[in-house]
Amino acid sequence: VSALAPYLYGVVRAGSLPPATLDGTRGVDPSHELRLVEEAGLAAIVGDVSRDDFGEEALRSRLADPTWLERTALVHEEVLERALAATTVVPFRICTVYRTDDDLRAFMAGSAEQLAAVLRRVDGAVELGVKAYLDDERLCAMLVGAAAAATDGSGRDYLLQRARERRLEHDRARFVADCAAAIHDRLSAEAADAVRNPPPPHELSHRDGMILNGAYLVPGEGGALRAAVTALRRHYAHLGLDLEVTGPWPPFNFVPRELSAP
Amino acid sequence: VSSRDLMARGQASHPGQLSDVLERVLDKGIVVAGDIQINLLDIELLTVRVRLLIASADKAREMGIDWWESDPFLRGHRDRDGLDQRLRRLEERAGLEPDDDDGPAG
Repeated sequence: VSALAPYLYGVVRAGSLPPATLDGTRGVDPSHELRLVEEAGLAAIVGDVSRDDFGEEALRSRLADPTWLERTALVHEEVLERALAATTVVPFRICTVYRTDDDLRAFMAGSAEQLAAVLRRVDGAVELGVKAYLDDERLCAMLVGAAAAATDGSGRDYLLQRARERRLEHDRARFVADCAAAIHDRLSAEAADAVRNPPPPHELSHRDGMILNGAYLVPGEGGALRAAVTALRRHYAHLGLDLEVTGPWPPFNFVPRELSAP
Repeated sequence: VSSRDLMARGQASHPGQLSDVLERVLDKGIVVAGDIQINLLDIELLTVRVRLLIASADKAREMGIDWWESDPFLRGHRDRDGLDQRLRRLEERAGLEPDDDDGPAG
């Protein structure tokens, strides 16, 4: 039997998560129950994993196994979502594994103030994701229409063509930037905090034409932000703009990227 | 618990699907620096893994991803190609002939 190590999913306030919330939820290693490790007024949601599987060497090769990584990512999220349904949760990065419970407790005790501050910041809030897509063909058709109207139709010479082309690309880029900024500003007004992320890598996109990849920290269920999305969708429909809302998510985009162990 | 089940569940709760989960779980959330056994994923590694992940997830086609086409190692200068394609589309829209003066073979 190999030694076990605690895999950390997230941190909540001690006492805020009824242990029964996690009943029936399996962790990334399905042979061990999830449990709470309490320290300094905080509770860490952990599940034990085998050190044989999560040692540095073993993990390196596991990460090369796409099926394993996909499954682990989804389980990680699933566990956090269970907690999110019951309380405010601070999410940790996938595959955060401590040597022992004592090491984890030492981290919690030493970082208690920082973690409490993060919990206050995201208290009672969830993250919603909003992605905006623009139908490039429709937009170009519109801009070309405007450009054609502005010339006399006899401009076949090279310089004029180049000028028109540059203007078209310029108009398009400016329009897209303005449009994305306007949407983000409108949505940010309904959020306690907001971030704009770059579009995800091609491998992670299922659609072309993403002009906005925003994350919004919203109170409760985020009804006000959802209503704003509906209004924006209607407002921009004629341009071929579409808005996708995802979530509620644990506040992944509103926790520090890094905490240093004391 | 099979990964298929999980994917089905993930998709049910998130219309944005697997990609939205990966975007967060692999790249966001607190990283602890210091006394910890394992502390990953540096971004470069992550990018490679994600590519592998999607390639094998047999979701690629469903998600409209042609990963062979978009892999810069297999394809060469992806960004430039993407830019060229966009420009070509704009040129077509504007009724212009694409100019060949920057292509090796015309």
